[in-house]
Amino acid sequence: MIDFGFTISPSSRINLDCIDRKSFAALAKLEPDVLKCMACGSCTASCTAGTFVPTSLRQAILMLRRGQQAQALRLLEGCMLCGKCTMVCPRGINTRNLILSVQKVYSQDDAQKEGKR
Amino acid sequence: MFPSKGVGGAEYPYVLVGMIEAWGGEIVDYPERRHCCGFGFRQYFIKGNRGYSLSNTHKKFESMEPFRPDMIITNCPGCPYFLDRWQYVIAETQGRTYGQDGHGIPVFTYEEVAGLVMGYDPWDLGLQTHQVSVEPLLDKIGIPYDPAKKYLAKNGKNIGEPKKPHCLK
Amino acid sequence: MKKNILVIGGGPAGLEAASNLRRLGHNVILIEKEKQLGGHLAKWDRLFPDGVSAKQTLDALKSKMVGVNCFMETQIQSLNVLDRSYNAILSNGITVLADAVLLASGFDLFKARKKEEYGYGIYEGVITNADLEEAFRLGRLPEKKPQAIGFVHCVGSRDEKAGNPACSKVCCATAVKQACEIKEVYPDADVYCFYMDLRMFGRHYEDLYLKAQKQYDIRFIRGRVSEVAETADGRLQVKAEDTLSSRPLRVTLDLLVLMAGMRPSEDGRKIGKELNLTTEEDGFFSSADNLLDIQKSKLPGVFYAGACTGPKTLPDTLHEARSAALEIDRYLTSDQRQ
Repeated sequence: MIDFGFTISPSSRINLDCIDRKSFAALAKLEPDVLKCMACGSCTASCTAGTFVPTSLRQAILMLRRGQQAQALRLLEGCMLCGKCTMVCPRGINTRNLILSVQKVYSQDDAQKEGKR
Repeated sequence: MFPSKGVGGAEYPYVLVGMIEAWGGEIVDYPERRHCCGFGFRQYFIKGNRGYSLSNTHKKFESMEPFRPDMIITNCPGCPYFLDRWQYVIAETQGRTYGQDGHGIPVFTYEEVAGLVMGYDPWDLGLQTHQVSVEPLLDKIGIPYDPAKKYLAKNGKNIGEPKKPHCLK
Repeated sequence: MKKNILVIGGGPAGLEAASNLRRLGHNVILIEKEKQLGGHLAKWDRLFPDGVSAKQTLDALKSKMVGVNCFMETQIQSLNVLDRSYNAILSNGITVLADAVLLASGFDLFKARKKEEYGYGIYEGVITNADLEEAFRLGRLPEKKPQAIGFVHCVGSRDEKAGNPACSKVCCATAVKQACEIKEVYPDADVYCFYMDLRMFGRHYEDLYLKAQKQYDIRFIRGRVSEVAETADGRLQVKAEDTLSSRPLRVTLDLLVLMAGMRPSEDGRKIGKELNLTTEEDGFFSSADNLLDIQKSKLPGVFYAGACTGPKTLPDTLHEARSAALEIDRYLTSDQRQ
């Protein structure tokens, strides 16, 4: 194979046909209210950790739906489990439980991948 | 929104399609039909941007391959230049070809196809400069040509043959 | 002597107003251009937000119509303003001398074919909300199970390029309702709704939205659909933008439902021209006052009810019809009438 000095750039387009939904379905089993999220952003707006490091539950849920697990986990790393987001969520989602469930379901995924290496 | 004087309308322009139909061809509508081929002077001439240009063409090819087209026709010569050369690059860097068994899909401007249909000799039209070999298509359409005369100039002198690529036939 | 009232249009507005006027003791003549009464309501299956049967609702409206003279497949041939009344020549040859006219001409659906990029009329898998509702009503749903279904909000609404910058009010609720209904028919399908803003303003509408998300797992994607194309195996490749993640998005669907918006009725407009009734920029009729007197036109004796003055939900239409009947009665019995 010849190297011409340039390659095909990866597409930044989200392809919904190629996203694996099993993990999100597992998350929905642990915390069914994740389906109620309407992406209003009240959680992110009131987040304590968010003033210091990028932390956003709204964005994390969106990323999990789009197959970007690693980024989603990174956005929840700083969470102190203070509960302010649970207090404000207009849909009544138990966001602390949701964050813990996300980390439970998706860190397991990562751990499995680590184990396979 | 909908120009009354357009040929076919903004989304489904009929100019090239009308030509193809007049010449007895069959149109293939593939999802990335409207996508840019990637020939944009700044994108191509600067080496750092060439990858972007190549990616656009790659997207078009990936989209049209399931439909198995025999040939591609474009308006201006910029696109065939690209769609042609990038097939070579994709074949050499990734081993991927889009035509039948290792060939590529030949690309033409409408002037070249008009010339072929009117009966001009393919080598007079300059089809030997195409990277993707046009012979399989010419055979399929049934246009007579002399393979020996491919790299001969008008006065009979040999103008030199390019090296054969590794992957693209 | 009993007063004559001409009601133009046999949809829910016309029916409710006609039956109310009859009960107030007037002589009502109703004309309808189609073969049956009900307007658009006759073509629907279930109504939002609670899924009530459209046929039952229409039957309830029709049951009150005893004593109203109805002419089907009849249109206005000419309509003239006289000294204190209106002279209407109908297409069936009958002449009506009306003391008051109620215009209940309703709306037409935006022709989704005009949005070429969505491929309505070009690709088989692209249908409108009206087509889907008809399919539900007649039980004619695709036999081959669709794996993925999409709904596109705001087709022909909030769109200057389509000639209608206004919102059509009811399509968001309709989309969510139809998404739930189609998920009931095909529980394994992925259902997506591509919206710009979700207008769930009425009572129980937010509950419908919540139910769609939690119970039916309808996936709402905030972003416009740019184009639809057919893949090699006959499915639809839909390109959209996911504004919340700021990236373009692509999904392959089997069925795409376009939420066509509400436009003023063409036949209604022609009648308006006979009387020189003014329209506002959005093409719907202009009333005497949009807050206090939406039923009154600028002509004494000509009244409006329903979607001819702008997109409305069904309960709004019925309320307007009843208040129009009251206004007409007041107009016909008052001493101040010149």
